[in-house]
Parts: sequence; C-alpha cells; structure tokens
Amino acid sequence: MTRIEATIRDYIQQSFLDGGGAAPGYLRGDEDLLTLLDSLQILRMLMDLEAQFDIKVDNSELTPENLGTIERLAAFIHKKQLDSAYKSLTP
Amino acid sequence: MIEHSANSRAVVVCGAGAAGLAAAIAAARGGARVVLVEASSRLGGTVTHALIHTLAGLYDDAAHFINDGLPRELAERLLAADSRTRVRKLGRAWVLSVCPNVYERTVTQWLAEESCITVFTGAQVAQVARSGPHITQLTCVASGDARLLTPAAVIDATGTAEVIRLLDDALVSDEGPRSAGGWIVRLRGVAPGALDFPKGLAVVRTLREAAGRNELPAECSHAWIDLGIEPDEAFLKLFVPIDQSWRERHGEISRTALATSLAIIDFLRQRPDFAGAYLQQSGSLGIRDGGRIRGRYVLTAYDVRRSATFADAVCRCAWPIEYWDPQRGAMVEYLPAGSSYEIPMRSLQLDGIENLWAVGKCLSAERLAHASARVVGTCWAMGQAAGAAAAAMSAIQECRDEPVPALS
Repeated sequence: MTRIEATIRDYIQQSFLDGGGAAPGYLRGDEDLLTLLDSLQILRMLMDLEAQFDIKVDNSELTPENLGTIERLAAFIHKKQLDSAYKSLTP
Repeated sequence: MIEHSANSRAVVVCGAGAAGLAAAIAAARGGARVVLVEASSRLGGTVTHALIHTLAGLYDDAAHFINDGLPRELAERLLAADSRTRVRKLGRAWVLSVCPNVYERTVTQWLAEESCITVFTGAQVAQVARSGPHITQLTCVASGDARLLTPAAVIDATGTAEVIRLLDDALVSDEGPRSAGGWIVRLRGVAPGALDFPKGLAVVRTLREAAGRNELPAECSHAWIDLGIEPDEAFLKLFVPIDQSWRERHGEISRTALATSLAIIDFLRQRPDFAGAYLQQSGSLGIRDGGRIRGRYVLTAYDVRRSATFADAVCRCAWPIEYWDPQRGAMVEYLPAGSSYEIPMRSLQLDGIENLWAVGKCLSAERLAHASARVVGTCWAMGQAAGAAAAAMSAIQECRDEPVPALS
C-alpha cells in the first residue's frame, strides 16, 4: 500500500465511515468507491484531496477509471503529481 | 363573523403535509371525525410546495420498508399511480423517486376516499384555548371568517409548531444553529444523460467553482443538481441558510432564491447539455427545521447513533443524520449498517397537555437527531401514531358524552 493510498483510506474512513460510532471496517484498496460513497461525498473528497495533494482535477478526468477505487485514485493522484512536477521542470 | 362549527369533539389536525395527512387518515380510520386545517390551497405540504422528488425515510438500508402501515401504503399508492415512480439508491440509503405533482394528486385522491375527514384549505388556527391539561377550543380563520372548534384532540402537523406557538412561544425551541432551508426548481429541456456519473459531478463542480470566482452568487457554492423523473428533467437545489427571522423575511428570501436560480440556469445554458434548458416550475422555500417543540422527551443524537429503543416507540427510522450546515453545506452521517432507532411517543407530546400532539418536522429532538428524523416517511409514521392515539381519545370522550342507559 502506498502512502497516498493510506492517506485516502484514512480520509474516507474518518470523513464518511466512522460516523455513528460504527466499528471501523477495513476498507479494501479495490472496494468500489462509487457504490460506497454518495455523489456529495465523492465531490467533497475530490475537493479535499485536491487541496491536500496540491493537484487540480479537470472535469474530464472524473471517470470511474480514475476515481473508482482507492488504488485507482491513488495511482491517478500520483500521476497528477508527477505531471505537475514535470511541468514545473520544463520551461 | 364567528361560526360555531358542528365539528365539535372532532380530532383537529393542523397542516396537510406528510405528518398531517397521515394523522388525519389514521384518526378517521380509528373512528374519529376529523377536521384537517391547511393554510395553503393544496395538500401535500413540503413535498407539494417545495418540489421534493426523493421521499426519504420509507426504507431501511436494505430497501425494505422500515415502517408498515400508512408510510408503506403511501409508497404502494405512489408506485401504482405513476410508472415513473421508482425506488432509488441515494448514497447508502434508499428513497422513493416520485414526481411532486403525482404525490399531490395521489394524496388528494386518497383523502377524498377516506370518510369522516373535512378539509378546510386556506385556513389557519388563530387562537388556542387551554383549560388545565386540555386544549378546549381552537379559532380557525379562513378568508376573514372565524370558526370555533371544540376538539377532542389536536395534532399540530404544521411543520413549524404554529399551534403550539399560539399556546406559548416558550414551548418551541427556536434558537441556535439549524439546518439550512432548500429551494428547488424543476428544469426541462436538459439533454438526457447530462447528469449521469461523472458528468453530473462535473456540472455541480462547475457551479461551485463559478461561485468561487464570483461569476455566480456565493450561495451557489452549495448548490446541487439532481436527476429528474423525466429523461430531460433536472432538479436544481439551492441551499438557503435561515435563522429564526425567516418568518418575517420569507418574501425576501424567496425572491433572492428565485433570482439565483435564474442566474444558474443562464450560466448552465453555456454548457451543450443545458443549451435548451428552461425553468418549468419553481418550488417555494422548503423549511427543514422551523423550530422543534420542547416535548416530554427530547430525542438525542446519541439515541440516533446508538439505535435507541423505547417502551412507547411509535415508529422506526434509519435515515442518516443529514444536516445542512449553514456554513459547510450538507453533512451526511450514515447510521451503522443495518441499524435503526425508534422515536418515542413522548417526543410528540408536551408535559401537562393530554390531548395535543406535535408530529413531523416539529417533533421534540436535538438538532442532529432532528436532521435524521424529519424526513417524509418518518413524518407519515409519526402522524399515523398520533392520529390513532387522538382517535382513541376522542372515542373515550364520546363515551363520556353518551347518556347512561337507565336500568330497567
């Protein structure tokens, strides 16, 4: 599990799943987030992760391939970070 | 002119929204004569007036009916009335997706089928007289005429505890932060599929970003847009923070909300999917929390989170704590999977008054408990319980009024 995955998992767990004092269930990396979270939660998560990882997600990138699971989301965020690092290096 | 009504010893239900309709039907089926007093000209309350199109609180998280009886009968009638009515998953909860006009037509028809219910529309309770533990008289005003009612029992289903405020303002908790209100408009001419995931999310984000850039009013930062019933339909939902001054500022709040809706529609029209979108219908201001009574029991957030049960339970609820925080927008806290809590009759009653119930959105509950319990299905269930109890009380009073047969 990557550091980004762990951060996302903690975020989802704390923001959306621990409420109500439910025993925190283990959230798998390949769990379907689009079923687990409602659209409002996905939107909020997106905005918070954008701020946390200092990335900007374009509306065209809102796809199940990029957001569907913690693993995919982590890979997507990693790629965004690499892209922006690359952009900052190239004149 | 004051007219003394023939409807003495009736169960008087004030407010023809979810809780009031259920109370009226349950009381009538319990054998009482019922007078239903409604301020507007139409039945259905917030669903009808504020264009609520997803009915919450009818199902548990496995899509089973959470309460049998009238809430279930309502869902079955709505499903039978229109083939577009459907059970739909919203996040981890289930709702009944229904056209608000179908709801209004269905409940209006339903009420007409029930015997012993007299409906006064365009009428409001202006005065309440109490003698000891009993409400003894209500003065009901409609288009300048006053009507005196001597009820056997009274059910305040106004959603904002209007009847109880007339007794004593101190019986209603109206201070502190509260869930924001809502303003819904119905759009047509939207390209079918425009709100399918993830396109819908992109639309909402665009609105919020535009609010951040001051291209749209700041209140659009919590706006939401939801699927409609028809393929080319969408519901635009505005977030309207209110404080206790909302009663006096109702007109001003509504005008601002309508202007904001129109600005959003203009903005959305720049997107290809919304190029042909137009406003078909605007709802009126939907009040989620218009004051809660200080009842014999105050339902707490702890009760909701810990699946509380009560000896005097009237219904169950599994809806998440859906609090519309005035600053942060909608906050949804789901209950533990498979769990539900009960609402006790004492949350619908005031200390020291025997023939009065407050049902629906003005139940006695803490802010966050209210944010779960206030939904339509639960309001129907609370109304049913109070209606049945009121009918029983009116039957006892009828018995007392009967002359004792002479011994032969």
